[in-house]
Parts: sequence; structure tokens; C-alpha cells
Amino acid sequence: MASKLGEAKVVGTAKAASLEPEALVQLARRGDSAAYGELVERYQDRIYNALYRISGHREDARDLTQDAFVQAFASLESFRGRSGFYTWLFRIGVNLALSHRRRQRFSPTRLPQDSDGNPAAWAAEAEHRRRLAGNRPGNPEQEAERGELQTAVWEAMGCLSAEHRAILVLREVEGFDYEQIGQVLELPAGTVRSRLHRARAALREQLGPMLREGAEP
Amino acid sequence: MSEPNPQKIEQLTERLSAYLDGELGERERRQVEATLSRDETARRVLHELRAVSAAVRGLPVESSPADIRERVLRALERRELLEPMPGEPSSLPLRPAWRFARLVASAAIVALAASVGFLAIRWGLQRPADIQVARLEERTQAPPAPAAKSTRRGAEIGEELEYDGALLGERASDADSFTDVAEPQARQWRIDSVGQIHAASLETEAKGETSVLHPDRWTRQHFDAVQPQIIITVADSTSERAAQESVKRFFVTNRMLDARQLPPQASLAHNQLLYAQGQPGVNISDFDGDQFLMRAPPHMVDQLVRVVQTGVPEARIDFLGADMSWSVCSDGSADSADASAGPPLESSQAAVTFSGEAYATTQGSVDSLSQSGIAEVPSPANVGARVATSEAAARQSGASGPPQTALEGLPRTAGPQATQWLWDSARAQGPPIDVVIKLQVGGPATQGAWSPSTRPASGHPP
Repeated sequence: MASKLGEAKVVGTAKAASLEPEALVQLARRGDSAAYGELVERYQDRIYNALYRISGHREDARDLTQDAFVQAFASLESFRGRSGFYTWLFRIGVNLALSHRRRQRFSPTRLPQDSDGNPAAWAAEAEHRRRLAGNRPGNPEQEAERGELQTAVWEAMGCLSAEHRAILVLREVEGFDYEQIGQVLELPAGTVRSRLHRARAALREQLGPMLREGAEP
Repeated sequence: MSEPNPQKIEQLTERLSAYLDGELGERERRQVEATLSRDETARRVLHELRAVSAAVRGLPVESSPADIRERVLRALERRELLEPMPGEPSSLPLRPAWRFARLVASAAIVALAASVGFLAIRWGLQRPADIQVARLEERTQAPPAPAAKSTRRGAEIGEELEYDGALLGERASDADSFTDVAEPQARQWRIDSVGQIHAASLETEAKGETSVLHPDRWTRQHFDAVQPQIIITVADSTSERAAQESVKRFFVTNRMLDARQLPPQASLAHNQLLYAQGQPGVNISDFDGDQFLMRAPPHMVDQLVRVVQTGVPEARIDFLGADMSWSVCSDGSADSADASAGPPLESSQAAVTFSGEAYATTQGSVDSLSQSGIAEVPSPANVGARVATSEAAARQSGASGPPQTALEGLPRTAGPQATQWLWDSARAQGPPIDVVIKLQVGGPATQGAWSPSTRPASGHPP
């Protein structure tokens, strides 16, 4: 299958790797699969991690990442370049993730105790993180402490709504400013500010004791 | 720091959060810094917010699956392979260079369809296996103006097309033509606001994708794809006649362009004929004893609400669009579905309740409202809706009802605005709004009070 796409190559894979994203987008628009493949490779880790934090589930994150790239390609003609390609891609991915969570939330199989789709998945991931932390090299005590915090953060993230997770990821992980967040989520800046605050406040409440352990007097 | 009230703490925390991000203006920043210099609690909160921020950033980064690139390219290719051109057998190979070029075009259309969302209305149609799959590339425009004639109202297939009790099948009046365009594997269908038919197979549905079917095969029977039907249910036949006259008078006296089919002194029989012929304009038909049904263009909807609300106190108006419907109850007497919506609303507020079989689409509508400033940010410039939480919405829907999400706290006059906006938006952008919107007006004080002049000055939710 991919070989058929490859016949529309304009540049080789090696050359694509040296090009700027804007140039790759232009080539992809003309049907250059190598160029689009390069874009995928360049951003897949970043968007996967973001979507993983929003969805809380590896398989979901993988599928969402794939879907985001597919949909982005399908919409390349509408990409005007006002924002960077990644911001645009990210917007597609976040929208997919949020839609995905909503579908899950209202799935007929949804369990009454589900707060936001599948907390069991978040708990399982938290456990996975706990095990990872126990196996890390270095100071066992420090690693255990760090692992404990990461597990708690992960579990607390699972208690947030997907919208709150998304805005936290945009700010804390992606480092977007409020204007960029507003572009991605299509929200006015005031809403970005209040929503981000609510997300942090919820996490703060969840993590309260752990945060206060190191609180300044 | 003395014990401030919770609201002040909330405000302070929000400011500190924005301060942490360097997103405060100069004046606000100085105020926050002044507060921090004298307030230990503020310093502690800032520290904790900083810790929260660091904790989220500190989550370990993972590598994405190695095969993402291959999966993406494969998915693009697969999408192409599943969609043959009209008249071409699906197995007919195309030259690769053409394939990819066409892929760009077709995928864009698919994305358009996918981006507007998909609502699966389970119409339960059965189709022959050998019918032609339509091409989606050709479907870039809304269908042409409807044909003037359709005489098979309520055809057998139409009877299957029930959605929330509405005779959606009225618009699918020709069973043979309709099945002509069926996708072999499709099991779910919908017509969007510009009259496109979307079909989804089990496979594509799982991915949230649909195929858009060829327009030529069906537009002639979907004469009213961009017009809502309006069913007015009244308490008795006397009221029914009164409502009909009231509505007709309204169209005539307002010389509504879309009412051009209605002669000034049009008889009910004349209107019924027009309706049976599927003519655009104001066509009124007896429907079911205490109901009558009419067609009218969407932009008349809010005016109609006022007309009927003021003219016929005990009426419920069901608006049935190509892919949306909503009801207005003027008497506050909720039906069984409404009964699950919770306690009566304050007289100064109305609720717009979205429900549907696919929450994703419903939520998409809510999001659209939100993004357009209608929701969440009450201000004089918008209607100040507040989107209820999903949990609250789930409670409202009850154990057996469809999933619902509510816009609560709308000023009473916001209902028509919101529904009108939804409809306009659907027409302009084509997002599916396959929802039931119920404008429930509670309390006798609200009857006949849809005029904007009665909009409460403080009608926004707290």
C-alpha cells in the first residue's frame, strides 16, 4: 500500500529530513508521501505524549495520533499556515481526543462509577508507572519518591475532565501561551485563563498533602 | 491573612495561576505582587500551583509506537481504496499517480464530513448488496433546489425512518431511489443540514467516518432538506384551527418571501395540497388529530415560536429539520421525557436540552455554541448559557432516556436564539445537529412571553 504512495514522491526521504515543516507541508500537498512521512516522524512523539496524557491510555493515544495525522493530511488544503503545522496538527489531535472521551463517556457500556470514561485505565497506567519507578536505576529512595509523586499526579489527572487535562497539557507540557491555547481549543483568552485555573485547582486539591509537604512557610 | 470568603480566594487563585504563567497585565501583576508580599496564604497557594505545574511537566515522556508513520500512510491508502469512483467497480485499479492525487481531494472531503461529526441515526434500512457505492468527491455542494413535486409522502421506507417520534421519513419518500444510493456495507444513515446523505458502515462508524453519497440520486425526493417541518400540537381542535390561522396570518401579513406559495386567503385544503406536493413555503397539513404540520424556512422559526406562543397558550411545537428537531412547550406541562429533566425551571430561564443517540455530535453542537460565545461566558452580548456537566446531564436523562446534555441557565429569550443559531450554523457550516432541543418554559408567568422586550435584565445565570 505504502509503495503506491511512494510513487508520488517528489523528494527522497533523506532530503525530506532536512527540510523545514513549511516546505514539507507544501510537498505533501503535492502528493509527496516522503514529505508527509517526515512530518509524521518529526511530530509523532510529541503529539503522542500529549494525547496520551489527555486520553490516559496508550492504545487510545496511538489511534488518536494516527487519526490526527490522517485527518491533518486530508485537510492540508485548508491549512493556511497562520499557525505552525504542529499547532494546527495539535488542534486536530486535541479535538479528536476530546470527542473520543465524550463518546466513551456516553457509551452504553459506561459504568456508573466511571467519572470520565475509563478510570480503570488510568489506575492501570498509574500502577504501570509505579512499577517502572521501582525498576529505575539510581538512588532507590529518591526514585521511589519520584515514582510516588508521578503516580499520584497521573491518578489525579485521571480524575479531571478531558477538557481540563487538555488545557493542562497545552500549558505545562507543550508550553503554549494563552493565546496559542485559545487557538487550539478555540476559546477566548479569558476562558483559557479560568479553565486552566480550575484544572490546576482540581489537581492541587487532589495532590494537596504531597504539595504541602514541601510548601514554603 | 484574615479569612477571606471563598469567592475571593477563587479570584486570587485564578490570578496567581495566570501570574505563574506570566499572563497578567502590568496593573494586575503589580496587584498580585503586592498581595504576595504581604499575604502568606497567597504565597503558599502560589507555591502549590507551581508545584502542580512542575508535577505535570515532570511526567515522563514516552516514545510513540514505532509504526505510526506506516500506519498513517496505510490508513490514507486504505481510505482511498475503499471509495471507488461512480460507475467504476471497486476492484478496478487506478494508476498509482492518479490514486494519490485523487486521495488528496477525496480525503479532504472525508475530513470535511468527519469534522462536522457524524450522528448515527439507526434507521434500520436493509439494502440490496449489489447497489452502487456513490463517490464522495462529487459531493461538494449542497443539493440543487428541490424539485417541485413529490407525491409519495409516507412511503413505506419513510415509515421506518422514525427519529424521536418524528416522521423524518417524510423526506425520504421514494424507497427505490433511496436504496439506489445505499452503500453496501452501510447500516447507519443521516441527512445533514445541507441535504447530504452520510452513510457509515460498521467499520467506518468505528472510526467516526462516513461516506457522503451521490447527490443526483436522491435530491429530487428531498425537497425540503433545508427547511424544517413544524408540527404544532395543541390541546384541542379549536386550538388547532386557531393556531393554524394564527400562523398563516403571520406569514401573510409579514409578507414573508418564503411564504410566496401561500395565497393571501389560502384555504387549509390548498395548503394541504401544497404540503402534499412538497412545495416550499408555508404549507400546512393536518397531521394527527390535534396536530398540524407545516413547512417553513428556518429563519422563521423564532418568529413562529412567538406567534404560536402568544396565540395558542397550550401548544407544543415540534420543529423537525433535515437533521434536527426541537420542541417548544408553551404550557409548561412536560411530557415524560421532560419529566426527567428535573425540577421546574425558574420563570426567568429556559433550558435547551440536547439529546440524541450519539453524544459526540450532540456535544459538538454544545461546543459550537461555546466556541461562538453563546455558552459559558455570560455577557450582554450573548445569551449566557452554561453548559451542564455531563454528570448532571446524565442524571437528567434518567436511567432509560437518551444521553442528554443541557444548556442551563439560559435567559428565557435565549431559547429561540440558540436554536436559531444552531440552525443557521448548520446551514452555513454543515455541522450535524441531530439533536432534540426542547425549550421548556416553566411557570405561568412565562406564557406568551417570548418577545425580546420581556427579556429579563438579569437573566444570566449566576
